[in-house]
Amino acid sequence: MNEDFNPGKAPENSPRDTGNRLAGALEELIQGRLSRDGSPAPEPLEREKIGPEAAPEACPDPGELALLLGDQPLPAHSVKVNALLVHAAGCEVCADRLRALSSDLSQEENVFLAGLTLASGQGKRKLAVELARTPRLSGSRRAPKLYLWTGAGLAASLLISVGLVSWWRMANNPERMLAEAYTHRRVFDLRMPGAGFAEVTPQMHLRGGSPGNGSAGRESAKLLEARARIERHLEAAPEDAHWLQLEARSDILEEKFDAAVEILDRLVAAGPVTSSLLLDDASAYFQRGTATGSENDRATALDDLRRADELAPGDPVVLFNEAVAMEDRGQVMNAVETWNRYLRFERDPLWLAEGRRRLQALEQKLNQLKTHQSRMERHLASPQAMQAPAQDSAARQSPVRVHAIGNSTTGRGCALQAQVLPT
Amino acid sequence: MNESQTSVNDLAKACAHSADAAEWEELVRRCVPLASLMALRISRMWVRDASPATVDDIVQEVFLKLCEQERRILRDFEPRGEDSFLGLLRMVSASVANDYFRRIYSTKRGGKVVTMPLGDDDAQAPMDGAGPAMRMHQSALLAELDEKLRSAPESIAERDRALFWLYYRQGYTAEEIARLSAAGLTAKGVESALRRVTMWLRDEVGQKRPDRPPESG
Repeated sequence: MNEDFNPGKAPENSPRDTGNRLAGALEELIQGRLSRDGSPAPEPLEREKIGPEAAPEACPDPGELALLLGDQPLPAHSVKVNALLVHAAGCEVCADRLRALSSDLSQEENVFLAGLTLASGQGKRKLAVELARTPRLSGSRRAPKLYLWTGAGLAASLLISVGLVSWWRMANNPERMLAEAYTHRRVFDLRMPGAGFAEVTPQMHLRGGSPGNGSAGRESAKLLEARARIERHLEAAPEDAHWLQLEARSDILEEKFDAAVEILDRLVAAGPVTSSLLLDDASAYFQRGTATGSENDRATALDDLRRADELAPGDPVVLFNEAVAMEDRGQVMNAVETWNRYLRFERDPLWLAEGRRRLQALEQKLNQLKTHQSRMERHLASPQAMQAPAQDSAARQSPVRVHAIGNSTTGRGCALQAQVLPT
Repeated sequence: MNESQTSVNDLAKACAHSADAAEWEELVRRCVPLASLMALRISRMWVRDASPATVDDIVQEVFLKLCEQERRILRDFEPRGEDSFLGLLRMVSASVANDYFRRIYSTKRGGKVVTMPLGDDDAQAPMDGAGPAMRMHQSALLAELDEKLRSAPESIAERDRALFWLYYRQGYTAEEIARLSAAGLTAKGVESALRRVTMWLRDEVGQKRPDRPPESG
């Protein structure tokens, strides 16, 4: 016992005294423990110390202490295990219970356990048979899961493969490649099916692609690739209508209009006639007519487009090309009406903007013509009125004079044309 | 499968999906002694005289617990050392035994029964033969020492503080402490930890004496 300790005297509170008292208590604790080392170990199953009456309310249930004896605690249990260990270190009852749970088998316990039903071989066998019959996740139930996952994996792989092949075929589809070639370098006003918007670039115009004009070899890579694929297919199936049409389309882009017209006329004659075929035929004729100045070709193009419009009334590409051809043929009123129809069907904002621009220009031109027409009618209404412009002109020494022309039999078949001529 | 030569871990894994009575019989043969012992010891902490029938019932419940939910415990078991299944079995047995008695008390008496000793708390007395005032004063000093240990968690971990008190206050030997898997130390490791805590505490209370490490036993 600590010599400083005096039960009859109040404990001192000075730091030095406190230190001495604590040092004394510690030494007493250590000595007390060492003195026990020689004595026999405490009996772990002293019933009074670990029995049901011993534990205060705050103590855990006896079985919970077994957590301190189990396998390495899971992280989720570590806080509880730590708390139990700390509690047992400070609670004599729980410390004894823990010692009892972790001690070696005693003779008395051995005798008790030998008397259990389950200690006999028969008891164990009976229990084993019962346990073997309990529900389980057998191999046959695990297998479907395995098959399910394998099947799902294969299906996913197949889906990805199909997707990749479809994407590759779409990306390398000659039709798409021709459309991309058109968008890459749009050399004429008419549109091509499936092509995105691009401004016309007349400076890149490649007539014929003949070696002499310096344009050879300037076709886009897409156009050349498409051409190669088309040729390969046609080598295998020279009369395939679809591939022949694509060849004609590539001819148009390469400005080989004669070849294109020849192929497309043959396909139209053989049938079946589709709006797509008529659209390409119209493009070939229109471009050839523009290049050669042939009215006849451009009139044929408009005929084709009218037929295509009948077959596919809502196709914006057909309507666009038809409006351009009508404008070219001088059919201003018809062109305005077709542009208005086109604006109802087109969804691409860029193409829509071009349509609006063209319609606006056409309407301005129409208004201008109407103004001229009304002026002409006023001037031609009487002989005095006919003389008035000349007199006015002479009087004002106007730098310009208006020359009116009636119905034109030449040019582009315009119902009414006006020219503003310099003096 | 040669059941008698298979480790208990492998046997438990095999029984997770097996309907083979021979495999199960071997597992039961190896596990019944430990499950029975835990059931007996927990029973004696709940009731004064545990009958063999009660222990038999608890052991059967332990095995049925292993087979619940299509043998979930066995299926989920991941060996973490040699015969680690026995560690799991020890915890399952204690838990089942606990539940068994909780159930009985809940049914019969309407809840957990806590019996408080009415007499003198001699069981808690640290020093035999000391009077109440002296014991109280002694407890206060020990509480101050514990406060010292708590005040420096960076030097003395909570686990080491628990080991210190298990050894010096509860009279555990280093081997007994090492049997607690929660301690996570061998007997030598326990001795080393105790030596370190003791030296630190002596320094703290200003007691400069030669180091006397705790001896094994």
